[in-house]
Amino acid sequence: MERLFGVLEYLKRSLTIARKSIFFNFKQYIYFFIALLIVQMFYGIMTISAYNNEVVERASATEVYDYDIMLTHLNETQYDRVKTYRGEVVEAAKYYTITEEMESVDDIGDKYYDIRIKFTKNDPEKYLNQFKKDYYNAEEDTGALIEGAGTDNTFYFYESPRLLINSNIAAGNAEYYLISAVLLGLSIFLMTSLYNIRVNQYKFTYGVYMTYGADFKKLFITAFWEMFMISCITFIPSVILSTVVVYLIYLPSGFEFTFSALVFLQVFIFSLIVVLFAVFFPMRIMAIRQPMSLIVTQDNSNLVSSPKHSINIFKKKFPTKYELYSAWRFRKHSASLLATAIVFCAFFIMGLYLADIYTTDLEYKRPDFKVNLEDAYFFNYSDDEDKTAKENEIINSLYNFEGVEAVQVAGNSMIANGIESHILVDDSDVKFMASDVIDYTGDAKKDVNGDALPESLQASSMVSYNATSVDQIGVFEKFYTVKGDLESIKNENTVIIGESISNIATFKYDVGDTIYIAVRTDEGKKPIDSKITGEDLLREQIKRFDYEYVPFTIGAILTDIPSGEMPVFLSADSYELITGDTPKTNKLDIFIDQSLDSKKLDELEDSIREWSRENYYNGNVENTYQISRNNVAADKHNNELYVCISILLLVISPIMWFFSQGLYYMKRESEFNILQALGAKVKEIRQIYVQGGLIMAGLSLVVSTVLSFLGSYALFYVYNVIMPYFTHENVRYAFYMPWYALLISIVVSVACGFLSAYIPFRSYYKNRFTLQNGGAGEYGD
Amino acid sequence: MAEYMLQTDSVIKQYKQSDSVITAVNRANIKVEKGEFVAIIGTSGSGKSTFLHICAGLDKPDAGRVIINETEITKLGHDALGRFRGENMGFIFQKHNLIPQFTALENILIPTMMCNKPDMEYQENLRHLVETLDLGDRLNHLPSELSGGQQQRVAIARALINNPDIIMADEPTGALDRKNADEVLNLLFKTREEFGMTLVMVTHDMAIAERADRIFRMEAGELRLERDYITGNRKTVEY
Repeated sequence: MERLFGVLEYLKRSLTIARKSIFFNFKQYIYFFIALLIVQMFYGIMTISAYNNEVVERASATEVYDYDIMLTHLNETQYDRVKTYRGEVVEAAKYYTITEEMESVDDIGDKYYDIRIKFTKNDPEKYLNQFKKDYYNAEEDTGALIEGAGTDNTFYFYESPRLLINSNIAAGNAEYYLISAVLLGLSIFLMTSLYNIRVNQYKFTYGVYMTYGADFKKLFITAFWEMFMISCITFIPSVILSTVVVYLIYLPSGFEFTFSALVFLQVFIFSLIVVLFAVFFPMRIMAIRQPMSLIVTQDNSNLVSSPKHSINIFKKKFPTKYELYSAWRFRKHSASLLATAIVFCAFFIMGLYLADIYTTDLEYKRPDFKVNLEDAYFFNYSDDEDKTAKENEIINSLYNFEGVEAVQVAGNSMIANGIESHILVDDSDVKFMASDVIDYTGDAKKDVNGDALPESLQASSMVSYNATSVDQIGVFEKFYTVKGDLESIKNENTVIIGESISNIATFKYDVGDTIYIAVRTDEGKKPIDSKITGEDLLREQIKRFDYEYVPFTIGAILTDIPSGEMPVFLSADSYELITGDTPKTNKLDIFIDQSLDSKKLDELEDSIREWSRENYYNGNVENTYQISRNNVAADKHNNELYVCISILLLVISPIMWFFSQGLYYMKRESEFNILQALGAKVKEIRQIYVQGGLIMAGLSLVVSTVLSFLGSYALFYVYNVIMPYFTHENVRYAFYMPWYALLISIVVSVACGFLSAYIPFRSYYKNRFTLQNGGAGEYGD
Repeated sequence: MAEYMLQTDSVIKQYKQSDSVITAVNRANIKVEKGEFVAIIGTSGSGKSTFLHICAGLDKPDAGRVIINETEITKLGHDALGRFRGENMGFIFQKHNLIPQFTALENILIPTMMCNKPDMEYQENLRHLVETLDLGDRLNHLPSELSGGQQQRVAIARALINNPDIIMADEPTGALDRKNADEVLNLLFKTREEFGMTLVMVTHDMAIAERADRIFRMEAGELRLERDYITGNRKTVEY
């Protein structure tokens, strides 16, 4: 009991000190209130949206799909075993039900079945494993044997989004943790910066504490209780505000809004971590300083700026010259303020860019069905028909199904470097500072036709050669911005081309320009050391190998086609000439209308499977469930969430400005009083404030513009150049600088730069005759 | 053999100013016995305050040792030194240095809070100090509501609340008028006698210094014994 009273007494005393500190200097602590409110809202918004995302994920998958797995191309024996639960009648075996089955007969009369299965008990992933164990060798996913199957026992297996709910939720949660970690870092940065400003202005108090026995632990705890008390006060309002924000964001989706009481606990823990870190570092630094050095700072703020230059301070150029010296004298203050306050404006822009990236990602065309015909053969043609023409006709017949938007023949692609090839382009077609492009230093003077090559050429091997035909150009038309005539691909030695490498615009072609594709003509030369890569490798290849250069006219340019290597689309003949490979039609990507409802989607899937069976033996149609993914992604409203968080990040900037500048000018008040005592007029003191504000506004204009561009470009680079290495997907995220947002960011920075200097003048003007104790930062607030 | 509360050994403190080096304290040695009252006098800028700050562990010497009650504080780390200061020393500044947002009582109790002293350990002492320093009716006032003399009395109570072994006072009446200064000093001496503490005081006022057991003079950073009232040696001798 005595111990309990001891703890209670300790808590009471600690909270009393904290309360006194906060409410005595409430005008200054108000910034901490706002900052902690924002910090808690960051996490509140993320947490509440994570709960709702889970609901969205579950609802989307269960509403659209009534099956967990799909088995296709089952023969009769396999079908019977699945249908009759391996012939067992025990109840335990019945953990699934067949929701849909489709029967088809091939050209020799054998029956095949596609069936959709739903696991009827909880934990579908557990029962999937049971199913695999019961029906086929779990080590082989595709083409495995079902026990007791006949000779033709190949079947295909697909998992629907309904089965993947839990893993998708886990992936969503991983993203949520990642973003939360970033926000945690930003929050700690924000609160540490604010607290650092505060402790620098309140060294005196800490010096006194240290004089009378405070060590780091005590300083840390004293500071912690202050921040803790503020976070307790802002805690409930922040959760309420976060709930309202997330509710409004999710309202249009029509899903039931979810709120868990755990949010309170999570937000509380998050802000506790932020508070602990925010006070740790400033206090650690404070604790190693000498107490006297902290106490004397109270008294030396009355010094008039730059005594060396002060002799002439009241001459004609006062106060301009004086304030310029001051700007230099307080350069550390200005630099740290610009670095912290404006960086949040850059974060605002970057947040908006992230939101745009989510939108781009949602709009990016990914195939909804992938038809793999590598192990299949085309049989639906008669001897008197041209097989290739007939196959093209059959492929084009896919367009007859309702909902099919585009069919693309995939897989006929080869990277230039893989066949030791490269392209040459005229100097004028290459953008300034382009990367992955080198000056051509070879000795070829003429192309393969004997025509002279241009005098100054650039070479690149970051190119992919792709076979295409006039049947395929519909896809280009639908998905990309086209300059020129796509049908020109029919002409001899004409190409359709992209103009970016790693999604960064590298070339500036015009329709009718010529590129030269290098075909190696010597086979026997010694290969180049495998350690040499990139541009060095290309230089070596040009130096050591023999090439002939085939000229191609640019017929059309796809300005926004996603690219790792720059794509060059060639006719089948040209493709064969350059790569030595004959184009095949064994992989098809099918893109469908994203507004199809689930019923029509199922019908379309069945039709495509039927089409495959009718025309190919052993074709495989894979549903990528892209529509479902897109719908879930859209319903999660990540882009709106990022916009909200970006706005909150922008709000932080004024907090930093006004808090830092408020304390800075408060410290300088006695300096201005002394200047007045020496003869300066109030008007001139006001000019000091105005000029200080103008200097900061000017600097912020430059810094915020530069930081915003740098921040956005960093994101652009990460998403376009680095991410494709990990995702193996080249979504093109255009460089995005939202001018309205940049304008807002600049206006906020410039306005804050000026106003945060000018507004303290009003306070100074009111108290201008109070010399005593002024400028200490802790008096006369 | 005498027991020393404070000993310093060749303490040096220098400041760099542009290209030159200023020696504020130059090989200062002092030995202060337990219960003794020592005054250090000197002109402004002579280095006496700097020396006192170093003795109290509030500033760091460039060389030399400071030993308080057999603990060499110049060897202690930051945290240990902080705790040591709180437990063993009391410091009175020239300017009261009270924390403006705290009442007189709260200011007095700062050292108890910094050292986590439980209520019962300081209550008796607090009562005694409040009574001796005549602060009873001002305890719940903020520093800005107190006179200069009252502020300094609160500062004295703050320095004494943890019952320190040694008090170091840096011109404690320097900011007060004569009447207030006398009143505060009388209270300080009365309290010191009652508590039996060692007192080291920096002052430029000879009338105050005369009340000490020994007087040292600091000149250009060098410390010399000026008078020793205990042994009767009133000549300026090198210590």
